Amino acid sequence: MASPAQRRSAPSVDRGLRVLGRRLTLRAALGLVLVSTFVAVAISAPWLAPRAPDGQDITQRLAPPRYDGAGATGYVLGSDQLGRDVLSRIIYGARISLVVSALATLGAAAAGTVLGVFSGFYGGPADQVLMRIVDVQMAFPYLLLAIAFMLVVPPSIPDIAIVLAISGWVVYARIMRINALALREREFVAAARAIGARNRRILARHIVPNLVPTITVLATTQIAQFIVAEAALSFLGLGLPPGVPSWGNLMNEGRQYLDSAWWMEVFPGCAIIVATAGVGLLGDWLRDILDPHLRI
Amino acid sequence: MLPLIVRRGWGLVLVLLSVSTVAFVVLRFTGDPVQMMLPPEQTTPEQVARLRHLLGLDKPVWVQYADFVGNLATGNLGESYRYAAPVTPLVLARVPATLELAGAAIAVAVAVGVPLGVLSAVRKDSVLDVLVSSASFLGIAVPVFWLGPVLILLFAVRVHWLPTSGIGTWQQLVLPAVSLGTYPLAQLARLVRSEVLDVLSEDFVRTARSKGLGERAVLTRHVLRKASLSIVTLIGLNVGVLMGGAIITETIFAWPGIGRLVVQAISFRDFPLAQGAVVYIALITVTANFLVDLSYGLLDPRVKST
Repeated sequence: MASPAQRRSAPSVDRGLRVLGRRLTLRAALGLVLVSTFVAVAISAPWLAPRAPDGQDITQRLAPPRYDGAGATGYVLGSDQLGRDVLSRIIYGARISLVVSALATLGAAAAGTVLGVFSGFYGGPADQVLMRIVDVQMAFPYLLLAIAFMLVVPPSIPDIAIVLAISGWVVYARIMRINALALREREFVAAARAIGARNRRILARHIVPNLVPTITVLATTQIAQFIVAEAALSFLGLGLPPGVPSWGNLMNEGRQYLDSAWWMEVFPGCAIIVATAGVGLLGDWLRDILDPHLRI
Repeated sequence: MLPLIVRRGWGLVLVLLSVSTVAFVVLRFTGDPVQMMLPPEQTTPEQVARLRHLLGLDKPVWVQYADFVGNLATGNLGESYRYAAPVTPLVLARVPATLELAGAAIAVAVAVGVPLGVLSAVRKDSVLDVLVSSASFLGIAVPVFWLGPVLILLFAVRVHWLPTSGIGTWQQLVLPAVSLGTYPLAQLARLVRSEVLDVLSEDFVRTARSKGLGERAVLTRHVLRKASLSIVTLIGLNVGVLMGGAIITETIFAWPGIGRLVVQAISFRDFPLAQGAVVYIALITVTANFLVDLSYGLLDPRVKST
């Protein structure tokens, strides 16, 4: 049997979507378009890419960008030092960026939220310890932590996602803890307690649902940061193995040919800018709607 | 003020101790420095054992840690494996370059970002506002490891206005400072715009205007003064980001700062040097945030330094 909350949920989701639709600004629409494009390109890479991302043609190495109409043989965004098509590599790179940043954000959000909520809700010595850990990690540039971890783990997509999640969970822990502390004192929690609800039910039914908007906003911002962070690690030679067409690897290779083949460096960077700008626009909009007081 | 400094100083010691512990632990997992230093095919096990003994790596890890913390308490960060020299002077020799780079980046950000934000807010919805808002949005999205090489391509390779790398002259500082400063610049422009818009609608601004104060005086004496708290906070928060960005910027521009030193030390498994550099990076970050906290009291006397 559906609970009252579940029965009400369908129309309220519908109403929520209508509210979102009414408040869709031009910037937000642009963000939505950019993010959908990013996701669509990542999903349909095999159909979109004009060539195989690792198909080499040494006679066509460092060919400048040229477009002679659909179906023609020119390299639209140029070719790299092994004659691989830069456009196809960027398209496949979108997959890597999307998967790494989404996995890392999921991990960071899950770990940070659970720790932060429990810490804020129950308090006690565990809370003190957690907050000290957060303080320490805040004083530690996340890039350094990631660099050190990358030397330990073999660079693969799940490992990079884990490393990024480890460097990014503190944001959630800090903010969720404060929010849980504040929510704990609210009347509806007292009311739930008065009718006999136990802590677990209060957390699941009253605290966590109220945190979802903030989590969403934080996660959107973080996806953009992780897209850049993955590329930064590859750029420093600490990311995915060379040859894997991640955006950072493309730029790392491009940097060595800056003089003779600027397109190898410039276009992958443009892909990063478009993806992060899109996610950023979307994030700003979500913040304005869901959690306008959040300062991030 | 004094109790605050004492308490924060104690907190600083705790943070530094924890940061160095984390660095110590994480670094031990990154591999064996002895194998990095001696090519395995040309060395005998006796030589390996001797070097391990010389570096103190044959002791149990907890003894190594106790030695490390004991030395840290006296300010001794040990000896670098690679340079066979004490760590502290090696790190201190690099600190000024990083401070110069970070300082120049913050200067660029404040000198350009704050006026742009104010103009953008005062002329809200004008062409200028739209331009500044879009540009600052792009500025936040542009990664430093793209901007750096592209600036080199444009200003050093295509037109030979500025050198590609190095340190010493002001021309060599321009590109790294702009690369590193763009992100905080864009953030500042956005923040100042929204702060100034907020403050402009406050009662005391109307009062200031109604008593006949010129618009410029209203802006500088009342609006910016109020907004300065957030500006300073943002700069403080950005010091950590800048130290991270400095690692990449220093790599791109061959800038001999602490960021490049720490990356090299980590890749070489030079444990003492990496630990020492991390401690100094944390020290810079925490000190900057402390100075930010202190400056609140000066900018807004209502903020009690408790």
